[in-house]
Amino acid sequence: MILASLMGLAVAGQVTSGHQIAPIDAGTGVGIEQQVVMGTDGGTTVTTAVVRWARDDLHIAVGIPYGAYRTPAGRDASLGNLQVGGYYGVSEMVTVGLEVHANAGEGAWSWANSADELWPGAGARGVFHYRLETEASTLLFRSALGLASARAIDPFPATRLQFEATGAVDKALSDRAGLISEMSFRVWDTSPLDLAGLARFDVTDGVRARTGLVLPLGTWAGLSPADRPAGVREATWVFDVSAYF
Amino acid sequence: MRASALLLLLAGCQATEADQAAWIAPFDGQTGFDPAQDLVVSLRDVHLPDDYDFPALIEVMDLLDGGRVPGTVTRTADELRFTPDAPWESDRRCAWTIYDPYDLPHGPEVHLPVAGTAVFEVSSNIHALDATLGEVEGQVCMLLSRPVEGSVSLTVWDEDAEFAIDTSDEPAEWQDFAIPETDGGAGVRCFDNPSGLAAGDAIRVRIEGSGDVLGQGPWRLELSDMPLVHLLAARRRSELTPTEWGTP
Repeated sequence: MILASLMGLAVAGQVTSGHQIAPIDAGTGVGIEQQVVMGTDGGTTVTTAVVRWARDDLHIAVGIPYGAYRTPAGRDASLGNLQVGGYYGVSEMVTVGLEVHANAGEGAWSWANSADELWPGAGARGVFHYRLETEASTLLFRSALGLASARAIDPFPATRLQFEATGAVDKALSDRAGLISEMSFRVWDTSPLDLAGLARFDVTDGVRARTGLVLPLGTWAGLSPADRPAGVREATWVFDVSAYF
Repeated sequence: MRASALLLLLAGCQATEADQAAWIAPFDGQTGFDPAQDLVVSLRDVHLPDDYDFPALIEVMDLLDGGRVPGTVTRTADELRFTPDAPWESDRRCAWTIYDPYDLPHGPEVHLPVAGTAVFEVSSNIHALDATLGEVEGQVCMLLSRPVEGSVSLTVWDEDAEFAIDTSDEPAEWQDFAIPETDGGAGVRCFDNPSGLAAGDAIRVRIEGSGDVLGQGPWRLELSDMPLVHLLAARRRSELTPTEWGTP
């Protein structure tokens, strides 16, 4: 689930020219994100290409994930669900938007930390972003409410109501570097409670790289809808690079 | 309600439960299997991911020579089918195993209620598979491995005595569930309860012969109190009860 929030924050709360995470006033750009689920329950990787377009208070992002995953007969790979988000900056602190996803390929029968990326399905959710800058850090909050459908094969239901609440703190270490921590809660989701820690670094003006780990606390606690017992068997390494014009 | 079920209702279709049930054909213990037919597993209430890579879900062993029967497994959204590379040989007894795919983390969780091993014969043999007191009052009814014509001569032993019995035709209430339509189905013969047998008692039965069958058996059967359709449903690995089967 945290990928959605990462993508949401990275997409909607993106960066134009430096160290600040801005919810809306970013420029047009492109990005690539990589997730690797590590551990004995790992094996799924997701590569997402993102294109962003921004004008005034309007911002549109389109992402397409490509998943590679294990099957009982070997590895397989496929396009996931096309992700489209439209965001409008109500004020400097508040952004609202609509995010939709729909299956773009044959279906990738897996997931990393979000139910919406790979597993064939479609859905829409309204999102609310709030951003508050303090002297020490930037605070971000995201909530979302939506409805999604999927191929009804366990553990996925045919339809699911989704509610999400995410909070993040971006602590600047210098003009070009910072640390981001994020906690997210989402139901229904394959990974209902996630904690993420990321480091960001602006390679140059308009080019930002981030890397870190997503710890699926809910999955570890056995709260995932998947038929897996509690236990620490996976964590997700994430890496993304974004460039803005 | 699943979307597909809703669409069916909207379209005015009357899908019976049997249409949506999981089952296997041939059923476990069936004889007289048509050598031109495939082995079929209905998955209509299971839903396998279309393009998810499972290992071979069906394997067939020839119990006469112990070798694996080469063939092709094809899969659709609601069916598994095993087609042998060559037509089934006559007078063969085969075992076919349907494997329950194992789940991987971050993957589909699919379980086949029909998983397990069943046997069938491409032969004219008749086997007594099950016996029950629950089909016709006052009678013992036997589920046979294939349909038979006319009377069947039996020798039945219980704990105390031996009986020679000529069975009548199939009971009028009996309705075979030959699914798919090309399947030969089962046979049923009933006879009067010879000595007050009760459910749980065991009998031994030998088929002395019918028009096209030589003597076979004996088999030891434990008397059930279930209707025959329950017993046949279990051999088809269906979880449905008779009232749920409806009209096939």
